[in-house]
Amino acid sequence: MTEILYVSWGGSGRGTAVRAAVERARDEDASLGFLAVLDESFGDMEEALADVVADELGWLVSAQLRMVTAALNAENVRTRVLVRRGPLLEIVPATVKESTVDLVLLGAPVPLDGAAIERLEDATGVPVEVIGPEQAEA
Amino acid sequence: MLPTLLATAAEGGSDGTSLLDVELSAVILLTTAAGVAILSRRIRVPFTVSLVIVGLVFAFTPSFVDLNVSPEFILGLLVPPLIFEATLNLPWPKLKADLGIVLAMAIGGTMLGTFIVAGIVRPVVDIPWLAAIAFGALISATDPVAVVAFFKTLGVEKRLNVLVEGESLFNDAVAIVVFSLAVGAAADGTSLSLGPAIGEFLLVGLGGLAVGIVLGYVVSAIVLAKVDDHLIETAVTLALAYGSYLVAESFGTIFNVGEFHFSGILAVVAAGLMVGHVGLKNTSPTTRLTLENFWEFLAFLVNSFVFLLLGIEIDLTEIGVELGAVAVAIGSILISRLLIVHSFAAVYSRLRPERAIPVSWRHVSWWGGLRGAISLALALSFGTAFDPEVIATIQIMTFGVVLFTLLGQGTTIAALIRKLGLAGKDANITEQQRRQATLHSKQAGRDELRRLERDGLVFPEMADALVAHYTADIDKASGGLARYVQRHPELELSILLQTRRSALAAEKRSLLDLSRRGVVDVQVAEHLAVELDQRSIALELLEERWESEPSIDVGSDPEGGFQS
Repeated sequence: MTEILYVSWGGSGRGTAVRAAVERARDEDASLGFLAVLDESFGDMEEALADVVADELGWLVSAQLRMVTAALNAENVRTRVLVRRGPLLEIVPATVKESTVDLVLLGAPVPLDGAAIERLEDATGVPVEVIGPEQAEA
Repeated sequence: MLPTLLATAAEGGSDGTSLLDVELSAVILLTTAAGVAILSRRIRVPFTVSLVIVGLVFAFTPSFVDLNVSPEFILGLLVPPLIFEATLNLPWPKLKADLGIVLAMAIGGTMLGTFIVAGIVRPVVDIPWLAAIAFGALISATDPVAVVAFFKTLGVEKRLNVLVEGESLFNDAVAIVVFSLAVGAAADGTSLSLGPAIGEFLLVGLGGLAVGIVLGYVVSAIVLAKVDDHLIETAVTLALAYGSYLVAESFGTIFNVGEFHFSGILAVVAAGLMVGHVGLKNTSPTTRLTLENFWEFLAFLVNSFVFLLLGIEIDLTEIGVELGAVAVAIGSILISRLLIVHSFAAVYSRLRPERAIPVSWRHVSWWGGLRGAISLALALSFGTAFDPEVIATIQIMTFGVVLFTLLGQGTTIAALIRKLGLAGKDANITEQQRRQATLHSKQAGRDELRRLERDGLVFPEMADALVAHYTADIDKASGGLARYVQRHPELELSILLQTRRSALAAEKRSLLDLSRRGVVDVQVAEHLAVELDQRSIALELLEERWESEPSIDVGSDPEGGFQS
C-alpha cells in the first residue's frame, strides 16, 4: 500500500481514531496523510483569521502525530499533514485525486450512514473505511 | 424607557429615597455578590442559587437594601444585556443545525405549555381562564443560567448547551407575547381569540427579529468592520443591546406610526446573533478579547443583581399561606415540561435520526427548565387587568415556582447530569490535572534545590543527592502522565491545546517585557502581540469545534455522487 489518507472529524473519539490510523499505516507499511478540514462548521471566517486557524490546526495535528508515532514506536511511518478549506465531502475526493492515496480512513465517530460512505467510495475511487472506537466496538 | 429608568435611578427610589441610598444599596449588592461568588465555588452550590438564598435573607431586613424593583427595571434594564451576552456566545452554526427543535420547543412548546399549565391550575386554584393563561405563559419562560454554568463545569456536550440556551432565548419572547395578549384581552373585557392572537404574535415576533437583524447588521457590517478601536466598538455593542430593545418596544412611538410595538427580547436575540456570527469576524483580535471580557463581566454583574433581587422580592410567608396553590403550580409546570420535552424530542429524533436527541438529554432538559427573572418581571406587571386577589395568588404561585426550580432543581441538576453519565469527561480530566500538577510541583522543587546550591545555601553534595531523588520522582511522574494520556487518548488534544495556549501566553509576556525594557519599539511589540492574540482565538475556535460532536450536511444528491 502506498498511502493511507486519514480524515479527521473531531469529537471525543479522535485520539483513539488517530492511534488506530497510525497503527494501520505501520502494519500496512504505508505512509499516512492526515487530512484536517476547515469546513462549514467553522462558519464564515474573515480571511486573515481563517489562515491563522489553518496554521494552528496544522501545528496541533503535526504535534499530535509526532506524539502518537513516538508512543506507538511507529517513527518509521512517514506522515504528512494536509489542511484544506471547504466542504469536507468535496475536499476528500479532490485530495485523493491529487495524490497516490489507496485507502481512506474516516476517524470515528462518523456522522455518515452506510449509503453516504458508499457514495464517498464512488467519488474517491478507493476503499473508504471507518476507524476508531465505534469501528472497534463493531 | 431607559432614560426614564436612569432618571428614576438618579432620583433614587420611587418612594423618595436619595441617590446616595440607591448607590449604597448597589454597593451592598455588588459586595454581597462577590462574597457569594467566592463562597459558592467552595460549597459547590450554583452561584445564582446562592444569590437567591442570600436575597431571601435580605428580605427579612427590608431597609437594608433600598431598590425599587419594577417590571420595567427588570425587563428594560437587566434582561437586554443578559440576552445579548448569551446570544453573542451562542455559536450560530450549531444553533442553525438544531434550529427546528429549538424553535418548535420555544414557540409550540411554550404555547402548549401555557395551556397545559392553565388547564391544570384553573380548576384547582379557581381563577379566571385568562388569568390562568397569563400565568401559564409567564411561567413557561425558562432561565438556564444556573444550568448552563453546570454544563460548563461538568464538561457536558456543547450541543445540549445550545439546545437548552437556544430554547430559553426564544421562549422568553414567546412567553411575553402570549402573556401580553392574555392580559390585554382581560383589560379590554374581551376573550382571547386564536386568529387575531396568532396574527399579533407573528407581527410582534417577526417585527422584533427584523429590528434586531437590521440594527445588528448595521453595527456588524459597518461599525465593527470599519472602526478599529476596541473601546468604541465595545461601547457600540452595549448601545446595540439596549437600543434594539428600545427601538422594537417603542417602534410605533419612535416612527410616529401608531401605538404598536415589536418584541424587544427577540430584537436583542437577533442583534446578538448577528454580532456573534457576523460582527465578531469583522473585528480585530484585541477588540474580540475586549468584547468577550466586557460582556462576561456585565453578565456577571447583571446576574448578580437579578438573582439577589429575586430572593429579596420573594416573600416566604406568603408562599406558606398559599402552599396548596403553589404545590399545584409546581406540579403543573413539571408535568407540562415533561410532556413537551419528551414528545417534541421524540418526534424530532424520528424525523431527523442523524440529529436524534438522546433520552438522557431530554431528562436534563426537563429537570433543567428553571424559571427566573422573566417570570418574576411578568408576575409584577399585571396592572389592573384582574381582581387584586387573583393577581396576588398568581404572584405567590410564581414566586413559589421560581423558588422551587432554583432551590430544588438548581441544586440537584448536577447530580442528575452525573447520574446520567453526561459528565463522563470530568473524572479523567481531574486525574490528568492531578498528574500534571504533581509533575509541575516536583520540577519546582528541583529548581529550588539548584537555586539554593547556586546561592551557596546548600553544599553541592547534598544538593546533588536531593536533586537525584527529585529527578527520579519527576521521571516517574512524567512517565505516569504519558501512560495515562495513552490510556485516555481523548485527553491528548485538550492537553496540546492547553500547552499551546500557555506557550502563546509566554510568548506574549516576553514581547511585552522586551517593549517595557525598551529593547524593541512599542509598536513592533504590539503588532506581534496582536498576531499572538489571533492565534489564541484560532485555538478557541478549534477547541469549540472539537468539543462538539461531528456533524455534516450530506445533502440530497439523487445521482449518488459527490462533486470531485
